[in-house]
Amino acid sequence: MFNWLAAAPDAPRRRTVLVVEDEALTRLAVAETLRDCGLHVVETATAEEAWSYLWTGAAVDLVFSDIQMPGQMDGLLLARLVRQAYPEIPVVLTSGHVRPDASSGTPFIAKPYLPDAIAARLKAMLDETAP
Amino acid sequence: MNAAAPVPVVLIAEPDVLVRHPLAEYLRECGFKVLEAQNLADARAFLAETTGIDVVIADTALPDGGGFTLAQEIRKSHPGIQVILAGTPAKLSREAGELCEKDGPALTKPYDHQKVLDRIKQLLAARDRAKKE
Repeated sequence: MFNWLAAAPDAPRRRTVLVVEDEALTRLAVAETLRDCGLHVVETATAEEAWSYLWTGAAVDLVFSDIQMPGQMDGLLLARLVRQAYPEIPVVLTSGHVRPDASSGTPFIAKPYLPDAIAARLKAMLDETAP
Repeated sequence: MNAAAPVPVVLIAEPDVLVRHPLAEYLRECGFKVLEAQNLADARAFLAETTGIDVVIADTALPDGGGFTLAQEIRKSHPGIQVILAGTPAKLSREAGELCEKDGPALTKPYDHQKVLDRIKQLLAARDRAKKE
């Protein structure tokens, strides 16, 4: 049943990763692996959806986003907007086709990738910024 | 939930992350495995590639098609999967009631998480009873 203790206000907050990936099965594989690592994961299928989630002010510790996605916004634009509006939130981009401009300094992981490897990399990044 | 039993799998097809995510997290806390589909294409991909889906909660207004379409497809291709249609009262028509006659009336949004949980449990219990008969 619902674990009310986990939802208690004074319980330590799990680190949250916002996963932005339009390919449902890829998104699920990454999200489930991150959950297995004890992280809280929010899944979004487009950059617009991710941006609308961030705009609510919900706590997000890291954004892991594909670059090429349907819609008006791609992962590169999402990364730029996050850097401007939420500079404290690191963004990691991924793609099988496009690479971000190296000068942007945005960490990049090429597809195809292993979900376990992604989880280890993101967990290490989060541990570096642990409160 | 019996620890030895397989974890029930729920697919939520809901376009709004601010609606989908809280419901998905609630059901995960209740012990379900939850798949999140933002649109009809996502839901179809999960249905085609994932085994063991027990229940689908489908919004009637997905960006690339309606939950009605999804429900009809599931009826044909995955008759063992229980479908719960959901939508705002204005969007729910008699069609939803007829389509889901077997599973109960459509859920009205905004979601009452406890009601969703109760409906899922009812559907799974009814399915298990039917299997035994």
